[in-house]
Amino acid sequence: MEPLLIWSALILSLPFLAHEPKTTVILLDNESSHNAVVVKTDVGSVIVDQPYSYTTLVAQDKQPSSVEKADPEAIHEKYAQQLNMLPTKPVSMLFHFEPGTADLTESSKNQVDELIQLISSREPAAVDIIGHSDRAGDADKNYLLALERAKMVEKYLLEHNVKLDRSSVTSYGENDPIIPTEDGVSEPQNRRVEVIVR
Amino acid sequence: MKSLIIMLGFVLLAWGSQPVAFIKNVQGNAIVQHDNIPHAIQKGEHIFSGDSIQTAKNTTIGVSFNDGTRIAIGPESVFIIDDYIFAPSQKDFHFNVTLPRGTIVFESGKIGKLAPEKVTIKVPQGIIGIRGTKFIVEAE
Repeated sequence: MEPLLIWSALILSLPFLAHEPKTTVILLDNESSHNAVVVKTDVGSVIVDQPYSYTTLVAQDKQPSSVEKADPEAIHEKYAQQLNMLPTKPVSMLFHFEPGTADLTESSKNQVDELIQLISSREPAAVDIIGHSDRAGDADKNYLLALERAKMVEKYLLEHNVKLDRSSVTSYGENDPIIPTEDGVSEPQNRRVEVIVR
Repeated sequence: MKSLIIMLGFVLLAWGSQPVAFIKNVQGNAIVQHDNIPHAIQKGEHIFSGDSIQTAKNTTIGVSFNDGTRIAIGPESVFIIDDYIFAPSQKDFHFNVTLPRGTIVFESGKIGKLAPEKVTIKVPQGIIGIRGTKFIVEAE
């Protein structure tokens, strides 16, 4: 499960000791075709949209340099420490519920241990618990039902001694379906809690 | 009525102090300025909109934001979170940061996907943004 699309990845480097201060912006490869940055000064802008291409800024009243290509290996070597310390991508898990209740489905119950392990493997971790409902029934009640589902997952984690020092519990009600439906429709995929572990 | 106003006040107060990120990785030494009071950085600590992070030599810090954006701050850097809001249910997104000096590696998260025009990184000579919303919506 990987709903977090990574949009842009880049390195910014300001070697302030150089006698002429400048900023270099290097686009990285985020394994997505949607990776581009716009770099602007007061007098112009360039788009960097190819991995390992870069532009340099020397002053606010000068144009950004034209985009040039860097050697990927040299970039990875020069910035190895920062690249290693970049936190790993958040991981997300989905738990499904019986209609109109905060009761986990049997198959989702079996996945809770996996979540507990995931959280402990990523300490210090932040855990975002987001409740959702389908569109069967009233929207306001669905907001509360989705919240109840999220709180149920939180309670379960706390009962299993999972530290939730950096957690949030929220409800999107019926407003963020995986499968969009007409109002009043019961949809198992939408009756869910998403847990994002960062 | 009075109690409602007081309650609203508390809600606003609580909202203003919501953490926006936390320190995921620490290698070396860094100072966090929070409410203009500096303290030594600690792994796992919360970071708030308005905070700044200053790193020492041979130091790298990994920061994880609420929307999934991740940043590694390199040695001898100053990184300021000018304005950060991630409130998807209100469709309210701000990601404005400044790097007066030093190095960061940046990998964008949900704000970069949902509202790329709200992401800016200021540097002394200019400003960096993430490209066009239409392109991104189409990609989804």
